[in-house]
Amino acid sequence: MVLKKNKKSQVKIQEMSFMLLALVLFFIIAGIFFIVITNANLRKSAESLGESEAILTISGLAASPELSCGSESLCVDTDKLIALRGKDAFRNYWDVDGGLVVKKLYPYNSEEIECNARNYDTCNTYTLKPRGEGYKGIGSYVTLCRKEVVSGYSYDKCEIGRIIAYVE
Amino acid sequence: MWNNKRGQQEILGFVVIVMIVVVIGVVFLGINLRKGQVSEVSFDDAEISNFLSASAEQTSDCIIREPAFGEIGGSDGLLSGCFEGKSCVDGRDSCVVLSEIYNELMASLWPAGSDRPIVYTKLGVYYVVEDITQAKLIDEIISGDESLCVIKRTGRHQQFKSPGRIVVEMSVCSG
Repeated sequence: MVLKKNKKSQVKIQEMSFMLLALVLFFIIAGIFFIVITNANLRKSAESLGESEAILTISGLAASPELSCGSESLCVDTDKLIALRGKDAFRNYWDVDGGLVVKKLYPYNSEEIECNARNYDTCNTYTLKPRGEGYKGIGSYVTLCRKEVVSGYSYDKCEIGRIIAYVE
Repeated sequence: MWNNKRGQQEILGFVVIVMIVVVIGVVFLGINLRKGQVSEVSFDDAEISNFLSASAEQTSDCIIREPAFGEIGGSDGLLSGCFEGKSCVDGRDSCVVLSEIYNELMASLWPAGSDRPIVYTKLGVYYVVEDITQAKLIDEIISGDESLCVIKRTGRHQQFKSPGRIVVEMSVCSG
């Protein structure tokens, strides 16, 4: 009789331990799932931070005396862009392997029109160094300014653009 | 009989350990789930700050005071004009023009949606004194669904306007 009771309680304890084991397994799986998601997000944020750093480097290009308007750090003088584009002497001056392009973004024009001295008002792309194959573009927003004269007053007409460096 | 008791004690010890692990697991998951946004990461972003600075240096067609030429930032710009309640020389409300410009910029350069890489954007222009927001200069421009936000990038452009600052603030979320 005593032996029968003992056996019954042992089975009960065994059942409970199996149930708890299953619970532990469940939490382990949930934990792994949570870690995988967190890890993926960490990787994403690391990529974003890396891009942010690259953008700061490109902002430095906009601040260089060859491109800058002089007044603001993120201001690119489009008169200088017109003068520099296509100049072989400057092609290797820019410290970017894959190319360097400045684009006017707003007002938006889906058609890409390369700028020159004749189409200054209607164009939207200044190619300082042609883009090579297989390079990835990293850009930073800048202001594109040029001198305009209205009613005898000279002023800076500024539009929003993007300086894009193509890197490996 | 003695062997049986010992076995039962071992199982009891195991059960206690398992219970402790389960309690720790529940507390850990509970804390993380209570945050509401389990995996949202937020940081300041150079691209957004550059965008806001570049957009503040644009020229608009709203001239607040001649011979100025419609800049957005600066002492005679749209931001200052809107804060001071001034109108453009052609009669338009400077805050309405400012809102239109930022709305167009956000729609064309930062399009947001659940099927896009950017799921949510928000841009606001505030007047801040000692880190306390005193006024919203324009209605906040919000696009997309904030609940889809996984990585939030933020940026701001500031312009001194005594006794505080005009702050253009923007958040961009990717899913």
